[in-house]
Amino acid sequence: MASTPSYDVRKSTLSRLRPSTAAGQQLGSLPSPHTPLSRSISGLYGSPAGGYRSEEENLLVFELGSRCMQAGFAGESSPRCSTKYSPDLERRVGDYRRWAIDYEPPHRPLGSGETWGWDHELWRMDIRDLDLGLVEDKVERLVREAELKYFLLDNRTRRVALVVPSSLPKPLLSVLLGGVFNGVQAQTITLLPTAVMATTAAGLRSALVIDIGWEETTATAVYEYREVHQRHSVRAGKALSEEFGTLLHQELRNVTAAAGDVSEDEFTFEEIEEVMTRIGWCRCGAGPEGHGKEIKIPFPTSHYPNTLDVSFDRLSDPAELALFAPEAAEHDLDDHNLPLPLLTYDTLLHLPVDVRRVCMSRIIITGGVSKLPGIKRRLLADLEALIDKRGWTPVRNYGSTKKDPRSLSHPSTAKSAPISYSAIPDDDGTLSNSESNMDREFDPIMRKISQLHMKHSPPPVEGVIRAVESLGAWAGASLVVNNRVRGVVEIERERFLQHGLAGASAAKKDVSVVPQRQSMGPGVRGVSGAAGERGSWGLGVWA
Amino acid sequence: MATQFPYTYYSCPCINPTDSTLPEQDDTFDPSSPRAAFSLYPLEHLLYCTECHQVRCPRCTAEEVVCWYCPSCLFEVPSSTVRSEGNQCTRSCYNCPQCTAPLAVNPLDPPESTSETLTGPFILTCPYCTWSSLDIDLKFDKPNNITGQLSGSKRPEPSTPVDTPDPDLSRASSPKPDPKTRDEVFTALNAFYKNQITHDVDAPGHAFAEQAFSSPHSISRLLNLYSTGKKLKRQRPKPMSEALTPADGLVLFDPESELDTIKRTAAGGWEGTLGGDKAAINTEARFVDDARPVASLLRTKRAKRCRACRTLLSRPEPKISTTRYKIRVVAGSNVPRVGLRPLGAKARATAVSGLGGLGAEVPSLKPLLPSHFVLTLTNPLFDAVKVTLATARDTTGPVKARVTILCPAFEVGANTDVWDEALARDGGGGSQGGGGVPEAGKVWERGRNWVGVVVEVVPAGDAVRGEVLEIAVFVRVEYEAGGDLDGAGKREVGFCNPIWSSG
Repeated sequence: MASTPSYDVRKSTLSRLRPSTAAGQQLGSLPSPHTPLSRSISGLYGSPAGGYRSEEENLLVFELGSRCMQAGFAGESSPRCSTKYSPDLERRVGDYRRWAIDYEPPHRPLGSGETWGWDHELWRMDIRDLDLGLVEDKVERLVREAELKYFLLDNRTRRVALVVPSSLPKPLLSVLLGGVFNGVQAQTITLLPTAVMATTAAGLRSALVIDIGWEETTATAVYEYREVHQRHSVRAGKALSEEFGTLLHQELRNVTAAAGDVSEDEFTFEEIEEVMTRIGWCRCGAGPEGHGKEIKIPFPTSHYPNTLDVSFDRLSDPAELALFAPEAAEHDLDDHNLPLPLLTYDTLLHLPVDVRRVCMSRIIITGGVSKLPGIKRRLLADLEALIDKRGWTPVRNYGSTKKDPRSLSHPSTAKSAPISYSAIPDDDGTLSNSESNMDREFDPIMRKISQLHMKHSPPPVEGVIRAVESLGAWAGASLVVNNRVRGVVEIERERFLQHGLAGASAAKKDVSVVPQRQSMGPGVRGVSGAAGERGSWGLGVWA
Repeated sequence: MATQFPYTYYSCPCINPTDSTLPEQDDTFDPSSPRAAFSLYPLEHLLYCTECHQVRCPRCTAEEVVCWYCPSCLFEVPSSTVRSEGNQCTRSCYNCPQCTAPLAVNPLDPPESTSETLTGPFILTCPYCTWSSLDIDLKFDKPNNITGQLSGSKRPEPSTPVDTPDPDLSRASSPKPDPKTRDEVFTALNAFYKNQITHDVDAPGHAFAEQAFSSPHSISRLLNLYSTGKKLKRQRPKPMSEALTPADGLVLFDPESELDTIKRTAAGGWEGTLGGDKAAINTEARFVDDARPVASLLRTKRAKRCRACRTLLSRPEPKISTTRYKIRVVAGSNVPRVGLRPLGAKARATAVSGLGGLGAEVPSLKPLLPSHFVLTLTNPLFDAVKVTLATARDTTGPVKARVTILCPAFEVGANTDVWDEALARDGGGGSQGGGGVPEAGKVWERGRNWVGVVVEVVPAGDAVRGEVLEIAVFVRVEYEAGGDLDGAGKREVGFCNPIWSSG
């Protein structure tokens, strides 16, 4: 009952279907007075109540990450529950030892590198030695407990929007869907990509989303709600918490007389993580900021003195080492462990100029680690310094030429633009003369067209480094579902349980996503008529 | 519960639905695999579907909420309130943000005599830790309806005049103050998107797609079809814009806010920040000063149905104050109870429970030395049943051992009148066996509706100290119900783990 068909059975033959950017919106609009069609009419003779149908449904939004799950109702600003995964969730039903007075938690080795905090993860992206059935069991239990404790759902139809990264491997996706379908008995599940939802939650259409998660940091360029480019780095929460572990053990060795006796895993993973989330911070600029304060950290279960004094400045070191690596020489860095500013810069550099111009002034820093105070400021400052130093040329070394040949022909644009955090550009509406426009000719026609387009609204900010706060991917999905925007990928329960993900192509092979695509443009409320019924479904970006 | 030794867990067949059709397949149940933790339950947690003749665990039951209530004040909450107010008590039940203990409402100045009527102001205090709502400067006029007073006190907060000198912002047409809190930003964004989408849907092409012929918009278009006047200029669509002003919900990153957080962290130290597990309750707060009392979550009474055939398995009485059930088909009255005790330990007259009862007498296993245990099966049914036991020869898990069931097939008597047994014992018959040497193929002891057979356990040489040996036992029960042989596929994996191993 609980298990869904194995992934092998569900192997999909669907070709990769990224929605093309050509899905245009060629609808005219007339400025005549008319009744608004905010309610849709479900048929010629139907009553217009169809649009309110979702009032009778339980619209749930789940965001699943490798460390925690956020879940709540659509239309609410924050999730009802956000659960961190811990090995306690794996205990058997009826095992109440945890609440006994003399209970000692079993000793769990901390691991290092890849294995750091393995038993606190729901899944890993590397699924080679991952027990997928176990992941499904865990997800199902998490989802069921969320329902039991926080949702208390009645008998109405349940529809779920599931926010997952678009780079999720398909076997994992299949397992997640199975877990959620069984856990809340949902009728349909809509898949929404994390980066796009984070963009929506900032009120934007295009953005560069830096998601500093647990296992990896992803920098995703979103342009008009489509993911156009993505880069990854392993410098993320996992590395950060391991650095915090190293720091605490070092400090303990410094204060204890018998330093050799301090074992490698004196502190538990939970203690280390609590230190990280409570008083960890990130400094701006390389030098210490001289707060010069000692923080007393209590460790009630420690074998050594129950408090540890750590200087406040020292608590910013782990972020330095794990995420920014200022000392690392560039030739030591691999593609998979770029420091965050370099990752951001590289992602911007590999974007087409037009997209870069839009994205660079819409940087969204999100993910669990982004709550570390100071990290956004630092990341932006380092990014600006990088752009100052390198400009937008992908060539780092011109060898015997010694000089960037282009900088000779455009001497005036070689200077960097002033960096501003303001929302509105210069008063006359001209675009800032920044590096991103370096190789663009001034085009009066394009400019006129864009001015006509944006007659009533101020011109968008482009070409300057600017960060925008986002409410997070969960809130984005909540907004999207609340406004009844249908996702590209909507999976029905019966079909999934019958065919698994292979059902994506079972109905019709190579079905194109484009005609189904109803993004935030016109027609998003296609709850009636032909758009309401889907003969077949595809997997969109997850295919 | 299952903290005592020996304990018995039952595996629910829902772990592998193909099992019932292919009982002969190779993959035997492995109690040491991590997945097993999700399908093993104590007998008390299991229900039984009388239509499917299957054990039903929480995973394979569908639940329906019978009523919602607050666990703290035990008042029922109607479903409409749950939907509108969310899953929280709307009266005065709040929990401490520091230690999650329920908060008490107390007057700020305790009255001199008990006869005096309590006068305000009132505060919320935690009886466990020293937190009180005075810490966050929160006082109430009345001792009741704290929720209403809290939401009232929240409202004036956002209107703290933070005048933005930026002239561009004042250009924004709405006179509302810029959204600051998460809720306000969310509301602004929601309104923004709603506005954008409505605007776009009104496009005429879309009107036809929606078949809204009655719309005046469509009519004007139809009329225009026949008009010979000048052609209407086809206008380009207005592209959907992004949120441009703070009134739309755009929040720009403010480096000062991060600096503030760092300074506050440095000043407050460890005690100034909220712990990680409490951050899960109200996710926004980072500092103790920002902690607000947490409304206590509601609980539900739930009816359970079999997922396969929708049979009602359990239905509690809707009254909050009773713990009784209208319907409850527990597995314990339909499935044989499995228990294990060391051979030689005091035999119980009736093997009532597989859980507990031995306490300190749990013996240690010696490597390479055989130990004997009595596996007791108690039949709750009113018919005699035929039982077949099976176990893997070598156990998996931390302790390796070779396990032999000396008598794997036998019959267990019906659960008849208790007097039968009492009278039989008086007659001198008693429960047979219970003496001599364990012998292969022979039942060790037998009672009215229970049978004990001997299990021999030989631990491997490299046993680990302090670990628990778990033995998976496959129990197959056959019984005749109403003449025809039923339950040919009846199956439970009773799975007992009894023994401390001392290396």
